[in-house]
Amino acid sequence: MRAPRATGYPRTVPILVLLLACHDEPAPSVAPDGGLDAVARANRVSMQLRGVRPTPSELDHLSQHPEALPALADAWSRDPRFGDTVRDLHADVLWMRADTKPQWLPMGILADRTPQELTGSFQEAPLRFVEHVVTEGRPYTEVVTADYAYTDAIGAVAEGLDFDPDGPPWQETRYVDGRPVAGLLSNTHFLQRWYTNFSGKHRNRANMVSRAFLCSEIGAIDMGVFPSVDPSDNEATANALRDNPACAACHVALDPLAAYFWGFEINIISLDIARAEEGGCEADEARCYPIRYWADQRADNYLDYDLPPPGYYGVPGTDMVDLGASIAADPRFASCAVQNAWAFFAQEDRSTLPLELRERLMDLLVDEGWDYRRMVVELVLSDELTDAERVLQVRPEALGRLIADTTEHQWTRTLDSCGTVDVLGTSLHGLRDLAGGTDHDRVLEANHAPGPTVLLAWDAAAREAAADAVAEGVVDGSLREAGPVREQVEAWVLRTTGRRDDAQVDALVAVFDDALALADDSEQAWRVTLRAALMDPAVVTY
Amino acid sequence: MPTRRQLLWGGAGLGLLARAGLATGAPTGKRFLFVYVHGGWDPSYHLDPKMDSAVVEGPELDASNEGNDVEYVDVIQGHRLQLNDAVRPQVASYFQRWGDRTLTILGSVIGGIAHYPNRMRLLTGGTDRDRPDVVALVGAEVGTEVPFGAIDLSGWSFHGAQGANVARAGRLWQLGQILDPTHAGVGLRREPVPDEDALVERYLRERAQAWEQASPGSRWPVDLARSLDRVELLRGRRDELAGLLEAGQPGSADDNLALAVDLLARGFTQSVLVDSQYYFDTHDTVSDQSPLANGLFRSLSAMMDRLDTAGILDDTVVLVGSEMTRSPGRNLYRGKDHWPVLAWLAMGGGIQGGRAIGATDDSLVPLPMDVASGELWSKGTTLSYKEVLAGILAQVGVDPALHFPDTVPLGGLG
Repeated sequence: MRAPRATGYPRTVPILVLLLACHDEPAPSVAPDGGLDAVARANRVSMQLRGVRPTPSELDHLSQHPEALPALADAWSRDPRFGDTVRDLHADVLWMRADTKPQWLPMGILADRTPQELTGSFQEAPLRFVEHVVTEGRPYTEVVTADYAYTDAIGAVAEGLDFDPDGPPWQETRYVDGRPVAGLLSNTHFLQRWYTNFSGKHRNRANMVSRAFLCSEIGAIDMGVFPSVDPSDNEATANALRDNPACAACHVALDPLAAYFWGFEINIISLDIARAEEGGCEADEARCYPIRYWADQRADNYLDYDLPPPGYYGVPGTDMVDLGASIAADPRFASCAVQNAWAFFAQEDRSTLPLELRERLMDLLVDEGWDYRRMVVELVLSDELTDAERVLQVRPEALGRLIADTTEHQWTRTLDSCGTVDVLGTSLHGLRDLAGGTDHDRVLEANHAPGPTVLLAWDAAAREAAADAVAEGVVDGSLREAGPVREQVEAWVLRTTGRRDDAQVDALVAVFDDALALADDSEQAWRVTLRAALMDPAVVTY
Repeated sequence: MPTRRQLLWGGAGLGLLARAGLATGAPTGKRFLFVYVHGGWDPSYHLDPKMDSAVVEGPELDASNEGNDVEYVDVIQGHRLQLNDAVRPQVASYFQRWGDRTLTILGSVIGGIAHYPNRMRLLTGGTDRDRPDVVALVGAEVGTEVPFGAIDLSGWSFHGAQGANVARAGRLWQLGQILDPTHAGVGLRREPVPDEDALVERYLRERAQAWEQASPGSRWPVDLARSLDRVELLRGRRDELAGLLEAGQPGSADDNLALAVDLLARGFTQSVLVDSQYYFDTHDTVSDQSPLANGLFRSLSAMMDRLDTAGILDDTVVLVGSEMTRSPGRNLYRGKDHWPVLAWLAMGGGIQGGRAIGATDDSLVPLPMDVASGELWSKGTTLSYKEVLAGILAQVGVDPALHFPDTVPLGGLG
């Protein structure tokens, strides 16, 4: 499938641009101070912020004026593709793109939609909300304090929210069920991703808050001693959760956090919706579209189980608005926001963020009015993320966008059962986790090494994209003479790697010559050449 | 003598492989199969009878099954078991057939009762997100001469720094789809041409080598070279692997376990993580433990048959574990909640079966033991999940001290 017209490059790269864009000689990637040189640095920063390489004119400018990078990075962070990056980052933090988990299905007033459309809408809604906060320059604390909802047309129908059909695809709106609203904390699709059960009593959600927003996961605390209590004895258990050291280590903080969530449904599965819809919605109106996910009368049901009332690490609270305010005021929130960003951009565990950098970025984030975009720009420009020894591997979602940007090829597949899916951006029917990504359900750690299945997935993507690029004339598949072949390869290398590399060009020309010798078919030779080029280390790393 | 793969890289290749830890030491040849049982099984339904306990509410309290539902305790091939011929006949069948090859490990404590952190503990021995699981460790250290050092059929693995040695199959085994040129979805839609594949591979090797030469010590090109080596080992066998992956039904317990065995037996991998596909998280109705256990032990029996038929049971260490167990008593919904005391099964690969190591008391509290010998000892310590994993690694042939420092490997396994 052809992608929308790429914005970064003309369809064919004029040779003149090549001459303007790069050094006369292959540029070393390491600067004398041990950091990346100007071109490599720009490449990395651009890839970090928007998932594509700098344009030739940008590279040309930067090669002459390396000091211009911060300003250019600031401009890149205002590129719509920075929004994609923000969504990818927060998907990893919140484990939101769990398309392998059962999803709500199209029924009733949503019957005209495909399952994939619903999955895409519901999974992306919390991420679109965060993107909205960040890219509109709103304080990042709104992630847990905003008093509005954010939805697309599908989500609006699913929950009965106001939505202007003539407005933008995603809009601010208001919940109509009386729920206390605090950004993600009261977002239906976020909470449904983090469903709970009768025994869990919203603790799963409380634990998620501690992990995603405070970087202090309660459930990961090791029990120091073995708990000598029978958890089936409810009274004894209730006491132990407060008094037994082994239990209280987690539950004294976990249960009051969980108490904030009692007004929300614990879990609505698609079967519930199907039964309600098929029953005419009279017996179980709340589970028919539009879904009613909140009920005031449930809000204090924790009392029925002798569980503690809402509280934030010892400070009593009342509702979700309190919880959001408490999180936003907690120094761990700023620290965790910075750590989560580090983990994403550094491709390391968030605990490895150097303390000095963490402090600097936290100060920047808070002092600049919680401007997350600014903090991210500062982070990706930092010495720690622009050191020459660090190798970053492109994520599958970004690889899909990079390929679309350079080949105009968007790899999708259409299934009768669920609609059209993005192959590199999904796991259930796609290749996201094989290509090194996560599924936010079971596969929770990205693979930043070019493992064997990563290689096979890249190869499959490269074959598809190369074939389309030749078929659609993104490259001229009729070329077979040495001079024009080399020129086209040079243009391709610049386009996909953001730098001129004679050694790479030589190697690719050799691939072309050998492939042409195999079958005397120039189009096939170009397909093989582009396939190799798209898997080149300079393409899949930055 | 260098292997063919090493010769491909010449002297530089040998250096790369050695630095990556691939060429260090001779592989022991043992295979490893970790069967992960999701959700927390209840050993009072089979491995750890508590009918005489005043605290543990076991299966004898479940609803009757047409009058034949008799719970009893019996010893089969050295295993003291909770049995029920009406609702869990496969438990007895398993131990009658494979009890002498099966070791039960009871009473090991794990550090929490939440699924995700516990799963990480169960597989990796800790909660550090960068820590590779034991399947990946075996794959990296022992699986050097196979296409995939380790393969994850479950999705649950934590590869840590061993990502270059671990393959993923995908939730619907999409790995088979990308190996199958006729597959219309994520398949290649174009017949592969071996000579063209060789051109691409040669190109990538040259590029990796150039990078390595320009930046000695950089790990990424080494990992790329290693993966190219591994993928090269697949050449000529892609159809065979695709056929294995496409023959079964993802999500079927028997097919998952059969695939795991076949991948080991045919030399595609040295180490497999597989999900049992039985979900034991019975908070609401603990009586579901009976049909779940019945299915699981039937599937395990079939898996053992397959390992035996393939001739690899003696050099394949099998570990079966769940991230937690169930609480002694029932909750308000007649289900059982989480309990941080594990029960494991270990089979094959030199494991001495027909017995149990460790025990719990009438309240499902672990009894102390001498970890090094595996003997119960009143002055000993509580067995930890880490000690079990360290012991299993030693059994497979991986030095546990490298990965579990300050941990006493559970002894007495073999």
